[in-house]
Amino acid sequence: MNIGRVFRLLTVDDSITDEQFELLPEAVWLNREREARPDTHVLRGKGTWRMRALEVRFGERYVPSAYASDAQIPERTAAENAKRYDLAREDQEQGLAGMSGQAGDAQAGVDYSVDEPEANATEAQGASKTGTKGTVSVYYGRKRVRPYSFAFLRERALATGTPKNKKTWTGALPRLIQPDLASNRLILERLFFLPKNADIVIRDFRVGGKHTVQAIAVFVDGLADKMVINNHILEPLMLLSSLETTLPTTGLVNWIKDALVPGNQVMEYNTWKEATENILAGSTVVFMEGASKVLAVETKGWEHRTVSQATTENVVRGPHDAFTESFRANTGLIRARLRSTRLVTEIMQVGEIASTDVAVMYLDGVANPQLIAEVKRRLKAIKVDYLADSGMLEQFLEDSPRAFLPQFLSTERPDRVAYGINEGQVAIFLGQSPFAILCPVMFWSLLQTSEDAYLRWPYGTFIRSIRFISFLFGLLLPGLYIAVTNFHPEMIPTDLMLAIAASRERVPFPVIVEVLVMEFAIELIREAGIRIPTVIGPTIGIVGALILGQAAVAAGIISPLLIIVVAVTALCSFTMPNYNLSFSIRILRFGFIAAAATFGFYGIILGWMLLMMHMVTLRSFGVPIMSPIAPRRKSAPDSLFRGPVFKMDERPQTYWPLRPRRQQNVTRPWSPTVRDSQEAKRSRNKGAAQT
Amino acid sequence: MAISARGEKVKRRMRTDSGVKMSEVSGRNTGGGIRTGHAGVAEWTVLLTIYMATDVFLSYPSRVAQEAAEAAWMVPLISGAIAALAYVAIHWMMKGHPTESLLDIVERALTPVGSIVVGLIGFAYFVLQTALVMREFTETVVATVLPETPAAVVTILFLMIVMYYAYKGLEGMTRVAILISAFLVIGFGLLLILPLTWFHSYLLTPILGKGLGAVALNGLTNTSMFAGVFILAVMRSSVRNQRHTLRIGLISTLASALIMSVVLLLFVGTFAVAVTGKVPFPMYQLARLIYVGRFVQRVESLYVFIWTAAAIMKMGLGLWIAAYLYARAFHMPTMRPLILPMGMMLFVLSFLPPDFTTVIQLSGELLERFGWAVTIALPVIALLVATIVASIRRRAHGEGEKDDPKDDHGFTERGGAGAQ
Repeated sequence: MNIGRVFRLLTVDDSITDEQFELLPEAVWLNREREARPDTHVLRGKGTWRMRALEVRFGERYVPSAYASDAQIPERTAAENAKRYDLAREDQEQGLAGMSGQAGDAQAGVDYSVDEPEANATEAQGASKTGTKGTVSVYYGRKRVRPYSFAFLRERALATGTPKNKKTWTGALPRLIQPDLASNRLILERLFFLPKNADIVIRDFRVGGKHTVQAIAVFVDGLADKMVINNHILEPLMLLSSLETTLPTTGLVNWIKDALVPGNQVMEYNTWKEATENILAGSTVVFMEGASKVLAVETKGWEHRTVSQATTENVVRGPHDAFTESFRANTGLIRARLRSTRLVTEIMQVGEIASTDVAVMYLDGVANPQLIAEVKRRLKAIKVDYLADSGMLEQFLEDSPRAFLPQFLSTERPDRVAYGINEGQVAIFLGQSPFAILCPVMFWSLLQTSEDAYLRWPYGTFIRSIRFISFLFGLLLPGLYIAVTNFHPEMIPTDLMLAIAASRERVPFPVIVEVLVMEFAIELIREAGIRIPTVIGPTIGIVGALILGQAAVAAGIISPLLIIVVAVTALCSFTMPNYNLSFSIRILRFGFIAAAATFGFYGIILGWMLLMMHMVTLRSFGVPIMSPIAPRRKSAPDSLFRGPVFKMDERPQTYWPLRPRRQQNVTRPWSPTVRDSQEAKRSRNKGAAQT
Repeated sequence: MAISARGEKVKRRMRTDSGVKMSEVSGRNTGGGIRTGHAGVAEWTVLLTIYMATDVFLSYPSRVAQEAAEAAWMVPLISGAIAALAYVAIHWMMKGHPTESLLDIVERALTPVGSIVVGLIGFAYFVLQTALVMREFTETVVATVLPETPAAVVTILFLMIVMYYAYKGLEGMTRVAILISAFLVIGFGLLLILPLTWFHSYLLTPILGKGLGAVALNGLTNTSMFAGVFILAVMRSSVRNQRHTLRIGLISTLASALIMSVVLLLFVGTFAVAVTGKVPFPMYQLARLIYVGRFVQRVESLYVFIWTAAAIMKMGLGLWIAAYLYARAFHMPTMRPLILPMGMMLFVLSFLPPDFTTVIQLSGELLERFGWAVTIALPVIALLVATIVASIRRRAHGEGEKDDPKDDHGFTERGGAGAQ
């Protein structure tokens, strides 16, 4: 830590200058916004004000949940759609600005106007004659059209175009797909460094028998499925299209998309960004002569591991599948579990040079919109060249990067993610990462496994308390041992003290050295256990057991009691269900060892209080991680212990979900103990009143 | 703020619409411009209970036992009842101004001079008290668990944690209080139950000790323990649910009174009055008595956990509230930069008394005897005067005063108007 930071810590109040994100119930922060701008809500109706407040706050239009009662979306989205459509049109026109009127329209593959059916037929005939290079003029129907080269268009736009138009052309490469195939080919070669780049495949072919159109298919060898390309793109376009004798009545692109390519996902794009992203994501992109649009056919088919057993979060009771390195398979695993129309998967790309897919999954009408907006805001703010794994994404997103504790729940279990989404959390999937992350998270969830919930509640509570005790032991046991033997020997009963003294008689080191040596050895075993090649895996057991267990004691370097202490501590930290949390325990343990070695119990308690304060002021996406206990928030009995499942009526209030309850008050109405209770009667009456 | 074109456009419009810049309104928060955060009812109650009851670990029980003899256990109950009454009076007088704190009300009625005087008196009290408590705890730690460590080292360690606590602020402290309360209750309960084998009820007779008069007088002068009344009056606006401020004050006061009373009862019943006055740390002595079979005995070292935790909470809140009062009195926009200098001040002050006896003497004869003037009398009197002045002014100005909107930000102008 540098001196400047310490100085700043003590002299500047950061809370004034930067406001940390805090997840609040909607009413509270709307109120704050209203206070901040007192006149606005008077001028406008409440609904409009609300929308505006959200828009100002998050910088994007807030679309209220379709499930919220006061939704006013239909007209808004329609208006927005119209605006977007206009924008798209504008873009298109920009790209075609260099073209002359009708020819431009025809070549761009824009729908033919309905008024001129005869003209279409002849025009298409003409278009089919269009050569690639060297043709001076072609007939488009009865009209003679001069195809322009890319270079010519560029020059002309630069000379005469509007500033906006110029901008499209002045960049190194155009933003939009060009209408002529030769230009597109050139751009492709420049984009992908062809022919140096060997795994980008460009396949030339002709569509149709009688009226052929020149086309190219572009894909990445190794990412795309060759069978699909052969059978579902090339075969229909090259062979089957010749059987088609009628002429297209719509645009060329639409004709091919609607009638010829049988792929299950075919998208039209008109910018190079979208086209290249699709090529790199395993799709096959088809460019056609005379069309300023491309067709991206979904042909993803790279090799990946199939869904297999969880490797780090095993359970006895419950599902055993785990996420894999396939992005869509992972999101599909959640879809398969949480079959709801409310489940929304928003996909965006992160990465400037190499983009990686990021999916944000949540339940609309359950997750807090403020939270969703904040997740997306943070994701959009990431400007990196390449994002490799969800572990890195976590570090870009977390509230306090200097904290000791994890602020996300990273998991490889689909059931865990589905449950979390149902509770009001937001799940983030990143590209080829087999770990999804859930946010926000409470500290207690890091100590929990999904099995706790699948078992009957007494068993769940039992294993949870075992885990909590092991959390405390893993953190404190070596420290306590040092403190007791060094500072407070009077605490130990005389017999035990004599036993310890006898076992330490031959040991030449002070306790602290003994502990550090053993802890270091355990860390070594753990690290070696992960890195060691599987073939020689069993060696580690022999080495660990023999050297650390027996030889150290026999040599008189370590006392047997300490072996027990260190072994128990290691076991304790292995019980942590969250990999990140076990790291924080391992590191903090050394802190407590140091505190105990210097000041005994006094040092331990000071360290503990420090840790407590650190923990309670830590936030995960604006949610205090120690809630619902500190601060106290309404929640089902599910934090430290596991309550009966029929008591889990409420979602954790700390996420401020839009739907606070997740089940009926009375879920066992048939049970004689419940049937006659006041609560059951009340809910029955309520039900009767409603019907 | 997002950088999308649409977002920017909207932001620009918002600003021109309202004519208020974001920077101008961002300071609007509770506590007269200082950001304090909010805390829930349970959190506040627990924090204040810990703050007030922590005195049982220090010399307070031994002094009260000396002064009120066998009836010592009644003393905290009487003082607690008085403090609770005072709090009810304060609550009643502040009822009309739900978003305002003691200093806001005083400032409006008695001009900023009034609030500066009240704030500074409070500041001085809390600094002195925290410094003395720090010294007492340091001495206790040195005497019981770390006999060979220099006192200054122990104090500096304490101070570092306490400053961190004050730096993290109210929200953090209330949350830690909730978290450790379970440990404290269990540990404290065991500490009281396990030595019960030495308890003899006949040691508590004569019930009235040195007589009713002595007990009543002691109860009256020992109200300084209940500084929570003052803290709550100052920090009222930071309570998340304003309806329950009365509940927080009453429960925390009475709970801490009850804890002290139980400790005194056991203390006197275990070691007779004659001895009690000579025991510097009664709780520690009680812990030393524990003998449950051969295995569970002499667990007094464990007791350092409970006691240090409580001490850190008490000193953290003490330092924080002192810094807050100072910053608030002079309308500083923030209080965090004050924490380092005030921490150093605490360190120096806590080492001014030459020895432990002087510390006990100072705290017993000065701070605890006359502290009630600050913790109980000051808020009541200040509020009383403020209420009277306000009502006189209202009568003098007629209807004019009523038209003013009640917000806690207009006090400077109104204070100025009052001064004219």
